[in-house]
Amino acid sequence: MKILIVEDEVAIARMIAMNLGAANYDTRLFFDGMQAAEAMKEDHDYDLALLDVMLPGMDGFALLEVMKSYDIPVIFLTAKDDLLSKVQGLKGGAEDYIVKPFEVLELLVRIEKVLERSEKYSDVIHILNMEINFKEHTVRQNGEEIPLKPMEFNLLAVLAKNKNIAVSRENLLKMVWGTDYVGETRTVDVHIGQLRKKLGLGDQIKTISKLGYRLED
Amino acid sequence: MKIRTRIIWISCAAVLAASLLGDAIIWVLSGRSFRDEAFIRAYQNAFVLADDFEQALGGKEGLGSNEVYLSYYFKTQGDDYNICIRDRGTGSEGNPEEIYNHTVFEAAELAALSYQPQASSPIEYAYLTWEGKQYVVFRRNMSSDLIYYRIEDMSGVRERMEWLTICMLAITLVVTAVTVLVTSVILKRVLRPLQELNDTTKHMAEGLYDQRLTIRRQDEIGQLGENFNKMAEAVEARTRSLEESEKKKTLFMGNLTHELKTPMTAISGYAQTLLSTKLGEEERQEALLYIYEECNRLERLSRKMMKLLELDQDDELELVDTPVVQIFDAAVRSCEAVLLDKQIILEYSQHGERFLMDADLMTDVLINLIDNAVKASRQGGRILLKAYGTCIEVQDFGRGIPAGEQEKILEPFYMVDKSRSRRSGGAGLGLALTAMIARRHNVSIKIESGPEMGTRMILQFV
Repeated sequence: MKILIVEDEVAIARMIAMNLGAANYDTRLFFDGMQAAEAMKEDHDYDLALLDVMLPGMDGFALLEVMKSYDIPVIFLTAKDDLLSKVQGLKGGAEDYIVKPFEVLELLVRIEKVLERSEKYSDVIHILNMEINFKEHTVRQNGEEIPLKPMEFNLLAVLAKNKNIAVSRENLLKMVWGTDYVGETRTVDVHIGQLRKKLGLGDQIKTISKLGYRLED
Repeated sequence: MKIRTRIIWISCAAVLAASLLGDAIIWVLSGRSFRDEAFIRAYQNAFVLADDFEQALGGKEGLGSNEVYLSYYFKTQGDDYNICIRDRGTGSEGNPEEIYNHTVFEAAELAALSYQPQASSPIEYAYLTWEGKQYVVFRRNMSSDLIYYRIEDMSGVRERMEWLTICMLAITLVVTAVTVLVTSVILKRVLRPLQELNDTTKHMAEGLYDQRLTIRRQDEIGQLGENFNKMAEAVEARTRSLEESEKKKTLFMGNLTHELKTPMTAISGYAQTLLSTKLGEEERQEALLYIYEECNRLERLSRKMMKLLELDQDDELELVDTPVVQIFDAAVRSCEAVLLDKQIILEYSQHGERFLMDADLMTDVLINLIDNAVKASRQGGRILLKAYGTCIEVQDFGRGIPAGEQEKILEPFYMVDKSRSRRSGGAGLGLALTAMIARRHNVSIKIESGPEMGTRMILQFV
């Protein structure tokens, strides 16, 4: 997965790149709209573009047109949270619109959703010695299928998709069991325990104190 | 009640009262004179008739006792107001014999009246009211034993009085009506400016501050209008300036929020990343460094904000006569590092000029201007710092400022090249600070610049 980031604030651009890198995305940074547009002529093999709206050289809305011509889905990342900008961005053909300041996990989930929509997300994730197949709903470890309960599978899927990023128990509850599931975070701990036991991931699924769990490769 | 209605009512009442009082006086006076006049005419008539009768009696001896003749005599008089009776010396108590009476009254009735004597005349008179009409009765004792009564009708007086009353009331009404009409017209003219003033005030109260009165008069009301216009002018100017400063403040707050949001996003993002993401040692260092840098940026921003706020207070600056060379040296010393970094040569020239200033603040201004000049200059460029006449000038030969932006660069948070100035640590407050300090010194800033022509920032002292 290759993601283009165009953001004039170096600190923020680097921060996004750092997180995407940890989640196994390849990233390329541009700090100037015009330079990004120029670079597209030579290399436009990207699965997604994260664009700031207020950019030197060429603004995000103009850059969106360039991206559309290469069929690259776009997520806007901006400090402008007025409705007009959002409408303009989304009507112009952007897949999503994220207002700064944002949470890293939110960014990752939205990226994932956009990639799923544009079917650029593969049905199979290879992580550690596992092969997770979303179509078949199966997990194979060293070629051998491990039987998992549906919720255990979903939990593993969320952790694998956000690998190397800690996901809080609350967020896991929301993402796996659904927002209206009024369960206790204890449920998450029980399922994590099951995963660790069944897949032998005692070390790889790390408990991050006060935050949640992280699957590391 | 409206003042106009009230004045009309009051003047109407006053005119009516005065007029009625006049009417009453005229009524009383003319009533008296009418009565006197009628009495005198009646008296003269009665006197002449009585005298004629006396002469007729005197002309023929024994005529007084000839009742037929007397009857005839009175008939020739041709009216029914004469009474003649014979009184046989028994006085008024006796049984008077009526010789001639064509009136509706009894002789005894008439005799019972109390008569008053008319001065130096043989005739006496008394008033009598019958069937609502007033009469006056004259009596004369003739030379024989005859008594002559003459009745005169006085109801003419009443008729005249009634006519007079009607006339006077009509005149009063007309006068009152005319007064009301005239007062109303005059008041309308007089009060129109007041009405306009009232309307305009109402409009102003609703927030339409551009309303003005048309002044048509030179009197007190005209002056009031003029003063009102002056007041409206002041109110409008004040409101405008308040609105403008409010707008500026909102813009300032908006910009400030944006300037805060970016470093906050970076700081919180890196902190989150450090907390939740598995990072290599190098990346951890990088994240920490960014947090540190963005914190510094916030700190710089807050320091400049504080300075702006401080300068915005109305305390008087302490201006001291300072040689320019002193602030030149201080500014150049502070800028040495940035100058060296870009290999820029700064040349300065002065001829012992001295200006009234706060040396520390003015040094800040120079540092700021030199800093901007350095940012605009190319590697190895040249910057000139000059003092001449009443001016201090900082000149560079760098990028220059596009004509459309020169006005705006003194505003807070305005950046010609946003990403570049952010990367060099600016928040767009430097020139705003410079402008504020200059304003507090009564120093005007002139900008001479064009793209790729360099920039001259000239501080003009008074």
